[in-house]
Amino acid sequence: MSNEKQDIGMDRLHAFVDGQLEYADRARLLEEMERDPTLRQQVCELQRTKDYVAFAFESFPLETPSRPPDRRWLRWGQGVAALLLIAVGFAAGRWGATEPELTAAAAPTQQVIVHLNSADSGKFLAALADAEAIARHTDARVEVVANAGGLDLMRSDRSPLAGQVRNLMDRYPNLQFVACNITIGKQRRLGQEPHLIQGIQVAPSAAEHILRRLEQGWSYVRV
Amino acid sequence: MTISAIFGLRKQVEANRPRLYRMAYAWCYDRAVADDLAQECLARALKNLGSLRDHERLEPWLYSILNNCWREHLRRKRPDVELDEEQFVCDDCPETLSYQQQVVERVRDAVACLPLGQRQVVTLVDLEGFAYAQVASILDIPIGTVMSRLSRARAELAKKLADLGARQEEPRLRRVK
Repeated sequence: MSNEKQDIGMDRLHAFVDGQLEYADRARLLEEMERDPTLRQQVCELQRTKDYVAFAFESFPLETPSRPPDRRWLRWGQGVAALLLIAVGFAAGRWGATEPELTAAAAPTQQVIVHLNSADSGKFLAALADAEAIARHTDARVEVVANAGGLDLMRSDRSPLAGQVRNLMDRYPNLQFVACNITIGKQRRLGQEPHLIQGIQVAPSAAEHILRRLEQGWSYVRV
Repeated sequence: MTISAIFGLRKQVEANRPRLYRMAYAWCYDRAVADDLAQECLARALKNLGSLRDHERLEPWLYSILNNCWREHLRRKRPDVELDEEQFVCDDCPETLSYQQQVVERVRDAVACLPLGQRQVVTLVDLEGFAYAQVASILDIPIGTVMSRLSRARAELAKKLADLGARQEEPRLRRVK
């Protein structure tokens, strides 16, 4: 048998163990295997090698050292419970531990708040990715609202992604960034003078701003 | 695309992270690099969701992004090496490990020694069960190349792991009376 014929023969066996053969070809090969012990042996060898590879990596832990960005999605339709959660979250300096599922059904409105309150660069990236995805692919109005550690995203003297923030503001007129004035005041009292990226708006309080937006029917995503 | 469609897709993309991480590990054998690759892949996928026309093709699309991230990583590291044919050094497996762990280590070492192109094909087929046509699309190579790489990879693995079969036939447990 020539090398080429051997290769074609082997390709068929690989395709068999990988479930890539059409029904008729598979049936024919099974008949041949019944008659030919050498063929059976070859298929077994291939299957064994395939199983080894799968086995060797099956036990590899799927948990990853870092986590995908977590986010919350609430909308005003959830009424008082949503307001309560936000109020409690601000009072506690962070949001509650339970996370509502992000579902397709929870996104019918065309105005979205993306809320950021942590100085985690992974969350900065997630917030910008969220905001850009919505601004780019829909006509929705999007506001990225930052308070506490999240304000760093919007500080020209601290943000690792200042260029990206400016770029998004230039490219998407339906995307705005809003900083919390209470956080700015706190940072001033600590002796820091936060310099915001040009074009960032300032709300007297992120909490009040978000509550007002929810009352107006905006949807809410927390990163 | 609607907001709900974007978020539905985002959720699906993020749910694939653990498997992308495992695949990245099977290619690079470094947990930190694998984590970076999976993260970079997710970030790019989330940024470019709009370019995914057929949502049924989400998984092959994700793995093709992972492949791009991996190739860029290698180019940054060693810009002059022909990637698909690069040989990797493998370590000896520790004698003290259990038999099962030894099998795992031996197989991983054998896979690690394969040229990268073969390693990618064999892991995409054997770990994730992708069809040959999908692998061709993920890696952007002809389907004939997928089959030849798979064939060479398995021949090499069979050679390296031949003695494992012989050991496996020995009884693993002895009854103690």
